[in-house]
Amino acid sequence: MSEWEPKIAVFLCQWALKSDAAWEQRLDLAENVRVVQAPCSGRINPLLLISALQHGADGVLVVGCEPGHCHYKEGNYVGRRKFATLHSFLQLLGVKEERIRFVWLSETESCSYPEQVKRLQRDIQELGPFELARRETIPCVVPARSVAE
Amino acid sequence: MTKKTIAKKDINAFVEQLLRDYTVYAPAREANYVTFRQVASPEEVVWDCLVTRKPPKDLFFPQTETLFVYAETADGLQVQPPEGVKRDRILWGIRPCDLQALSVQDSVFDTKDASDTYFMDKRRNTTLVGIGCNQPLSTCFCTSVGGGPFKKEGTDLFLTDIGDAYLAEAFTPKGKLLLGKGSFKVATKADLKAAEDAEAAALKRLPTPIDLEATKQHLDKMIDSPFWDEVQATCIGCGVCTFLCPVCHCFDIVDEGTASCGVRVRNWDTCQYCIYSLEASGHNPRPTQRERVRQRLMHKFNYELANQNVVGCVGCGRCVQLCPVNLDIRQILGGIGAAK
Amino acid sequence: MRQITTEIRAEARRLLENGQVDLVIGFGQGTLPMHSAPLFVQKAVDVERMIWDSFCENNLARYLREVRKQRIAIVAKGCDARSIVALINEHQLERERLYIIGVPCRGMVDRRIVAGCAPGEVLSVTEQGDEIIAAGESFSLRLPRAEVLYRSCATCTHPNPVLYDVLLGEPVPVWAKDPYVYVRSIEQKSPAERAAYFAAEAQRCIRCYACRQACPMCYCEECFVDHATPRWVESGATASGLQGWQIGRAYHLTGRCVDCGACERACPTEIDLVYLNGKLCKDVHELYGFEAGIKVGELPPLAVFRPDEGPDFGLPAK
Repeated sequence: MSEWEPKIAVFLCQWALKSDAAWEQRLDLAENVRVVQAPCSGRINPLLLISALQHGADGVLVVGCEPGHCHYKEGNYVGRRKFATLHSFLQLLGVKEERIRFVWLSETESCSYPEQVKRLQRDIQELGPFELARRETIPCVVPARSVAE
Repeated sequence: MTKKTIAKKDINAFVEQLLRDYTVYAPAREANYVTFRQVASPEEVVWDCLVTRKPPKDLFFPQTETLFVYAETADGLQVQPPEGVKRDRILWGIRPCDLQALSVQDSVFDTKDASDTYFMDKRRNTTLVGIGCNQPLSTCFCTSVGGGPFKKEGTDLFLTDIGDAYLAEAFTPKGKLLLGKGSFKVATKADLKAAEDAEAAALKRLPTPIDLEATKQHLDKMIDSPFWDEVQATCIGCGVCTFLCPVCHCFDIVDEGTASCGVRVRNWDTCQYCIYSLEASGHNPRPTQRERVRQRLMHKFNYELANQNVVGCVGCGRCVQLCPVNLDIRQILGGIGAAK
Repeated sequence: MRQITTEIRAEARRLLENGQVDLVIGFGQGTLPMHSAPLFVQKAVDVERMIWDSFCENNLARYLREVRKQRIAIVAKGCDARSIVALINEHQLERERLYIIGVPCRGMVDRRIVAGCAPGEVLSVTEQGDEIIAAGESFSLRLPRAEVLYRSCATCTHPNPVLYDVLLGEPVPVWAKDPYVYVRSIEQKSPAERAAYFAAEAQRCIRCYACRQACPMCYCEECFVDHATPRWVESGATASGLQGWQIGRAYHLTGRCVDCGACERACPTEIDLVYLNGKLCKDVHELYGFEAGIKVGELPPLAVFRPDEGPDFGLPAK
């Protein structure tokens, strides 16, 4: 078990990181953390989360802005019901509760973003790999770091 | 052709021996129904199920089959086909309807112009042990379409239930080979008579043949018939009839992956889906369920007869049992005969 | 039952004869003993083919998407009427074109349970009061109706149509207390048991899409599984393809499913779909107080929100 390292997928609202430092570091997390940027947490299609898990993610973190502070006013509210129902549903299928996490970051909290990712990695290390089936062929992906900014 | 018998009390030992030498697929329980799957012990074999939920077609033509795997490597693009059958297989307990369906599939996948290597590899490495149907179900109609409950053509070994034993008839070297693996005795006259009686009793329960040639000729003139409007009204366009049909064999080839690695697979497809005939331009030559239901009947009872000289239905009755809206092909055939 | 059959025929005849509708959708005699078949009737003389019994298992609202240009009468039991309301709320139906013949429903008999009880092929079935009598060549079984209903019917809390133009027969008393009792029983299993159960059920799927095609709410012109760029789930019968299909379809029904069970009845490999879709019905009911297809004009729960509702995804206080 100590050999295995969990893969984490992060779906990051592009407005959630308020400080320049946090923004510049957002992709530079770890080899097995992949970050997908979205214009708003409300845009995140639940199929994207399922897809990430089926492609090899063991943990998923969705980061958005806190209620009342959505750049598009209501996107995060719309996202909230989707995430709540999806999360509950996946638990019925045996996916452990802590595997998928949703986090609202307030203005002062955006610097805690790397910490949130690390915390999830630690927790997933203990939870073990994703409970349901993975894709048979996982297409080769280009590592995040080599994508031009 | 060698005719032997094996007592029912000795059949499990026979299957046990087969399991040592072959991978055996037989009717076995899955959830609440019986279907063909690999078995690990004789006790798993179900003997009293005439029509399995799914036909054995996916043993030769799997629902999803990898055609090849590709990957970009330092030496260029590598394409790797899957490995063939590694261990000889036995398909145990195939019924005459499903057997006939296999020969229809042969006429598609193994022609003089083209032979599907994926299908043929499995076909060649499988010994077929058939079994006859003493008590056909009310949904069986093999005799309507030229079949019969004890039609043995195509099997390597064929079993007939004659009470406390099975008559075993070997037709090929593969079948004869099996006779050496169980406690078989030479069949007596009484055994052969019992088999004949079983067949006669079964035939009494089955419907009379329909005139397939006349049906085909009717259909030749029915492309625009209002008959289809009525028939198609309640069809919901799912794939149950197609996927559970032992004859149906359409497939869709899909590449999944990226430019640098992935697979090419083929999946079962059905002409009942709206997107089956949808073209890239957006045009769909079968735009409504009317054209699609018509296609199903035309293909089975007209085009396959014209192109391959076989009827595309074997009367197994699975579509009748399982259509979610109880569209009954027997009723439709009756209607074709009477339609204007 | 016979009384309702007579009334359905009379109502259908009346509507067709005075030209009020172009088409009546109901049920007719099937070719199998335990499955009455959906029936489209366009001529008054054909109303004699219409029947009503405990084998009218299909959700007829499924057919309303294809006949938008016509004026239609539809025989609707409790769940069918809910589907009609749900479709109206999603702007898929014009209420004015629809004449709903509401029929209070006592629940439909599960042909699989009856077949499982029988020692041979069931060749005929009759209903006598609260019993179902199933007979074959060498047997006859009496089964209490209440014990052989489809699961979705046994837990149904809306057997009386919520919307109708005419109601045939007296409303039935509601027999179920908790529509989600079965979902709760699965929720009580351990995560490992739940994962194993889901994997075992999904593994039998053959991607025939009978569930989708039978569902009144699956009316998308392009289903997510038929989308190629991106391909959301594997197209084949791989474990992840099958699970992805099950998860995706169920999730797309959040706040839309009326728990009718038509999907499970259509499934040829008898996958447990009622617990999957039922879970989402339960969640929107318990989290947001919403039940699909009860009130005309209600907005879908995933399209609305209350600013101060939970859950709270904020960081825990340090």
